[in-house]
Amino acid sequence: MPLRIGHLDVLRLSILTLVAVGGQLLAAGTVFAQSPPASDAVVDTAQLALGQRIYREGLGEAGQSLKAVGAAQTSLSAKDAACASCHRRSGYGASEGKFVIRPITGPALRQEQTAEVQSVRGKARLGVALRPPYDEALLARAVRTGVDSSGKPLNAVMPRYALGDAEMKALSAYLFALSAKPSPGVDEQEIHFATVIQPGVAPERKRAMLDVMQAFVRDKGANVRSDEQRREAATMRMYRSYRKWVLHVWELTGPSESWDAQLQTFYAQQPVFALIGGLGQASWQPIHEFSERLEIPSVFPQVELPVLTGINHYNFYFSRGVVLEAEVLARFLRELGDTGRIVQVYRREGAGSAAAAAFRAALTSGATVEDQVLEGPASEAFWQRVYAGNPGALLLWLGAADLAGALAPSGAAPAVYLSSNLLSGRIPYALVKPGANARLVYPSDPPPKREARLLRNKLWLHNKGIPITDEVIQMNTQFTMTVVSDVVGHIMDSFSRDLFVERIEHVVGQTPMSSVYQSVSLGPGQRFAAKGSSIVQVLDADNKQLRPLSGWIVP
Amino acid sequence: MNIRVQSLGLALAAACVAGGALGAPAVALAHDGQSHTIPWPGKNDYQRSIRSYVIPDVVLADADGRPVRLRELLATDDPVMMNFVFTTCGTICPVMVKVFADVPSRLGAQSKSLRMISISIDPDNDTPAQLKAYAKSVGAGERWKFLTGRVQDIKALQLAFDSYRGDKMNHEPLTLMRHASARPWVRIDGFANPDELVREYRKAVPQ
Repeated sequence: MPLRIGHLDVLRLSILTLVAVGGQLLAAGTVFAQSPPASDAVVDTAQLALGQRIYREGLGEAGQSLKAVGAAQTSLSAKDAACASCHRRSGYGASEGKFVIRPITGPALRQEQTAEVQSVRGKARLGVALRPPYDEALLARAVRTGVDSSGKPLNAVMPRYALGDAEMKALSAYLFALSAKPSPGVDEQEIHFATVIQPGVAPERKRAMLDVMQAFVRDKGANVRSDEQRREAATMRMYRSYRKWVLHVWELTGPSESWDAQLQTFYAQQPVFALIGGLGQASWQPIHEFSERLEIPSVFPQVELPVLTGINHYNFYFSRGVVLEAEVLARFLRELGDTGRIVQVYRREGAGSAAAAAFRAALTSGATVEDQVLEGPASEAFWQRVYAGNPGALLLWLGAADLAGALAPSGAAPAVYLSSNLLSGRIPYALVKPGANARLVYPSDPPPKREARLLRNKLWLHNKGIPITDEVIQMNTQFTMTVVSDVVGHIMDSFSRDLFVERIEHVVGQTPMSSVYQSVSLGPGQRFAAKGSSIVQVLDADNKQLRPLSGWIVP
Repeated sequence: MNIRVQSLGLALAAACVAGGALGAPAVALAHDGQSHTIPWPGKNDYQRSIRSYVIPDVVLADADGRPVRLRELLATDDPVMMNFVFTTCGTICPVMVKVFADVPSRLGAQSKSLRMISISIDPDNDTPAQLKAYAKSVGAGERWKFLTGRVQDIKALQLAFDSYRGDKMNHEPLTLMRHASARPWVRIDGFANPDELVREYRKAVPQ
């Protein structure tokens, strides 16, 4: 199906168009939007789709797994043979140990590298290999036989592929267009971001996130104002690509079924390069799917219900939320040994029931688990029922509003476990009466370590004149903004959303600004930054202390 | 002792298949009616050295979540082959585990006593469940154990085996093998293909 593409307007229109190719849904607009071909070029979408499938999935013309011979003469297939597994979706390559995986974007392939590059700036642009530009024939030779465009053998980690002619043609077409143009949401002056807020988020929580974001964006704006001129001074010469940051706030309304259409409308008004932050208590699924479909990165929304299964190339989350908490708790209780009967309390709707289901699935020991579903307001009679028969452990998958009266029963005091996620990260000291045995699944490090770690964040807030109103949201938002800023600095003028995603995988573990999470790390394809949690004892309102009951548990 | 070994090109190795001893994989790959033979212009190279290491006393977890005291696991008279990998690694690890997967069949009867160990260097992500799925996907047999552990223990372990490079993304291909617990380690830095690894193994573990 040839498609003639001329102008940017056409590109933008096509972004929302889904074209079914060969039984597979290909977000055609996204392919072109991220790597539009030269003006007036005739694009064969079926060919590009095949090229993309070879590149991303390692699947050939008939859907068969590609066959390749890799380093140490190993035969590789499918995912391991997919170009993207080393060169990544963006085509900008990567490095592992001493192995450098060279960029194979359209511009990189076409570029002639004529001189040994010594300057750091030059290297950043060109790399250091010397070789003539690739054309289709040279590319085919490289892919099939491992000889580069100058006739030298490629490194052994580059596999040799047995591709048919149609497959090779499709791969060429895909590669010569790969990351050839900036992704949408960036122009010569500005880079656009949006933050998505679900309905029902309390105004003070919104304010807490937006104040931090807007202060950060203001700083960015102030800094880039005269950088183009500064570049002329030798002392200020840095290879950077300055763009003014523009932040859009996309507030969703109404039922979740209508969110996708709302997101599309926002996006049609102003395409954004990435979604950053975000808030919501309901399932993040509609936003997640929007972001996957349009290939828009989404970085660390603070949500109770992240999307845990299915395809995820573009959505980064802080953690797996209540499901992680449930698994951590199951592991903790299992290692604790015989706890006796376990009772868990939750509301049917929302994150609580997801937590309860995950706990039941994760608790592989023979312990008895009994569910109590809370409906309507929690009465004294309800709590008497829950505490009846003196359970060995009580899991309250509930928010603060439901906990009044729950933690100070008369008589028996079993260990009561609470969820940080469902308490929005607030420690419920006020609810814990003397004598209660309240414990919390806690993602941060125990004080005073936590205080020391977050000092830098707090100083920044202080300097910006922002009072601390919601520590968790504010710290996590600072972390997110710092990560995004680091990454935008790293990608320089290579405004590829895929490269942005790949750099996030790299910088998260080394970012100097902290989040409330004790430990964060990512790697290729990893989408949840904090992989564990710990269990702490919550002392009562008079003591206001946490005591660690476990180390960092990765379930 | 530090010997630099460079393997022959694949074309040469393939020529040796007729001789029987070196079984390079078939590389004539045919589909859609076409056949392409893939020559191998690149060189595999690796460095072999003999080392002694003090194994830290750490308790790791296997793919079933069972605790494994590494010193006990390695206090064996069986030969051991060990590497460091992580499951989301896209470049080096797929090659290393492929080579490991190929070794037992090439060793034949000699592989019966061999214990293979792959230790994750990304313990935060590589939970026992993750390792179990990965082991299955690479066709790991009974005698190939995948281990993970606490972040600090895994770091200590890499330091002890001189393989810590600061970040999982900086890691380098490495294989360690040993005849028995009383012997020093044979350290293979770089990519050795399955035949080369088997050759090194037979040198280290004479029948």
